[in-house]
Amino acid sequence: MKVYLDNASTTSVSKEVLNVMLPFFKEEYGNPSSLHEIGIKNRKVINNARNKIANLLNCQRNEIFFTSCGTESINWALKGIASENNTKSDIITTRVEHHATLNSCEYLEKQGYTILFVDVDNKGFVNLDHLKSLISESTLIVSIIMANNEIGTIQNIKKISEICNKANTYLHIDAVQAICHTTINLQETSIDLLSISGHKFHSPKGIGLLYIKKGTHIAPLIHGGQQEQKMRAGTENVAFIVGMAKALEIGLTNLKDYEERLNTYAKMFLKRLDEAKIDYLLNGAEIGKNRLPGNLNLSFKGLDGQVLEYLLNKKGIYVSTSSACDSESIESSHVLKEINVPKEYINGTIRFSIGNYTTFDELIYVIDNLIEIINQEK
Amino acid sequence: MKERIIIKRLDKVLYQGKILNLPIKEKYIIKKSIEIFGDEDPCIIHMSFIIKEFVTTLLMLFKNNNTKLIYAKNYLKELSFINLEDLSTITIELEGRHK
Repeated sequence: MKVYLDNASTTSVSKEVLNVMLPFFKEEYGNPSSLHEIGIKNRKVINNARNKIANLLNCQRNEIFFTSCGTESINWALKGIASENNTKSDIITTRVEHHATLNSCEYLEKQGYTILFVDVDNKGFVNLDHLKSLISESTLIVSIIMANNEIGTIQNIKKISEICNKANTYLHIDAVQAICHTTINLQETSIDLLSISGHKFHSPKGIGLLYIKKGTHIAPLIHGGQQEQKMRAGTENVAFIVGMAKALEIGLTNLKDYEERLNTYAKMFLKRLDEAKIDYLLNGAEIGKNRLPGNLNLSFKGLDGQVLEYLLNKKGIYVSTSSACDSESIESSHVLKEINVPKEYINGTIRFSIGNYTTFDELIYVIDNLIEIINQEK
Repeated sequence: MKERIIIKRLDKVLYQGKILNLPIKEKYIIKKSIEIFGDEDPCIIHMSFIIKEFVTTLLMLFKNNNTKLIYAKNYLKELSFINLEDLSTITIELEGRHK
């Protein structure tokens, strides 16, 4: 049996999404900027996709800008705001962000910006009082990951946006891991910029978007032609834009069922580990509304996550560790270090990310094998 | 993969320790990296994966032969990745749990 439990890394393209994309690889290949029949048709297709996405996110169509991925969106949000608004010096973020944010901030620090890090607690939640204390007239932008890609903790974006709004700073939300996995309503929160990546919700790799609230002063990141309201040059990826719009529609329509089903699966998974008396920690928030459905970031005492990942792979079970490599060693995840996972557990961490297509039988197969491997490796 | 091994030539211990720290020839690691990842310059995480592949080969020899002691001369091709001279004269023993 092959079981894919790495849906937080990427997801498969769904049949429905593939079907709506296919015509644009062969028959409908026109450049949307061309003023002939097959070009004009694709301009309309993109505009319709943009309208659909704007309706789903509850924003205006001219606030949606297509990009190549989440990382590009995040880079654009931070560098674009910094480039256009150089009268304020501070950028506030957390140490549990994706590297797209952390490394963009590092770049901006070299350009003269001051990067301030707001504390998170041992579940990964932003310390709102600390954010209030850091934010000032000098704060240009606050950038927060809505749902942590490793530990699945979902932030209280409404509270964060209220703090930012009161301080008159820009707020960028990295929603790459969150979209289609939890609720986002751009009318109910005061978010200025929001980054999304298609491949996290069953559309292809290579497509993303940046929501830019009307009135936000931001410079382009990529210069060239007049695409995307002259804000993001490059011939539009029509097929992937259409695919992402379809995937977003399906994902948001089925969100409630998805959340309930995956939370049930996750609870069952942990119950079985408890029954087998496995010594583990669940990193991040408790299963429920403040945690990504299906995200189980588990640290097993005294074990090596890399070995577990390898042995699970041999059983056809595909998971992730959160490790990164520097030149000479394998480093534990910056997120796990930041939330103070105890040292006897941190190296034994595996992220199981259950997905929309994961079945009950697959999970039973994973749990049985996991318990066997852990008992053998103890 | 928490197993420990002892590699001996006659009574002289050449290596004793974790099987994951088994000495492996660099050129075999590179060859395997090209085979698996298409990369002749693997990062440390990929190297770690490749080492586990070689360790699995050795563990399977123990398992398939239902033994805790292997005479390398019987598996020169399979064990050629081990970075020790004259493999034909060495034995590899799984520590503990003797039959």
